[in-house]
Amino acid sequence: MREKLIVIVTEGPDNQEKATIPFVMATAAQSMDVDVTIILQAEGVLLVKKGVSENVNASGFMPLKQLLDTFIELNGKLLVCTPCAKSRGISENDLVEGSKLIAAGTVISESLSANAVLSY
Amino acid sequence: MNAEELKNLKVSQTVDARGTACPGPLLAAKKAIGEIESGEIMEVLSSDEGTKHDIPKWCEKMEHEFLGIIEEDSFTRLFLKKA
Repeated sequence: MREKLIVIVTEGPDNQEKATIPFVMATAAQSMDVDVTIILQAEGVLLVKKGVSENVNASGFMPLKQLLDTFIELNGKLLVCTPCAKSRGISENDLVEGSKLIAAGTVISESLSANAVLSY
Repeated sequence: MNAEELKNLKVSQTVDARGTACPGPLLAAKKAIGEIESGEIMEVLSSDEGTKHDIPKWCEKMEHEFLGIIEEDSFTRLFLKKA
C-alpha cells in the first residue's frame, strides 16, 4: 500500500518562500511514489486561485506554477478550505482545475488517514 | 565506486537537470527512470547543491542502487542503477 502525506498550506503569495516550500515538499514526496494531498487554508487558498501561482517565484526553488502543474500531473489532490475561500470572495470556478472545496471534517479524516502531516 | 569506475560505466540514460532549482533534478530523475530497464545505469547532472543529498535518499526509498558522485567545476554527476 502506498504511503500518504498531507501538506497543509496557510501562507499566500505575500510570503513567497513559505508559499512555495510546501509544494516543493509535496512534489519531492511524489517523486518517491507517495500519495500527497495539499490542504489550503487561510491565505493559502489564494495560491490555487487562477492566475496567482504565475506570480510566485521564490528564490532557490522552482517557480510555483511549475510545481503546481507537476503536482497535479502526478495526481496530487488539492483541497481548499471553504470558509477561507468564501471570505476572500473565491468560488470553486475561480480555482485551478482539480481543486475541491472542503470543510473541517475532511481535514481531520484526511489527516488521520495519512502517514504524516506537514503544516506550513 | 570511485570517479574512474563511474566514468567507465555504460550509461543508458543521462538526465541533464542543470539550471533547475529544487526539487527539479529529483522530478527529472523520477520522470526519466521510467524510460530505462531494471539494471540499467542512469546519470543525473545537477547544479543544485541539494541534489547531492536528495538523489541518494531517493534511491534508498525507491530501492535503486546509488553508485556515486563525480564533482565537476559547476555541477555534479550522480550515478545510479535502476532496481
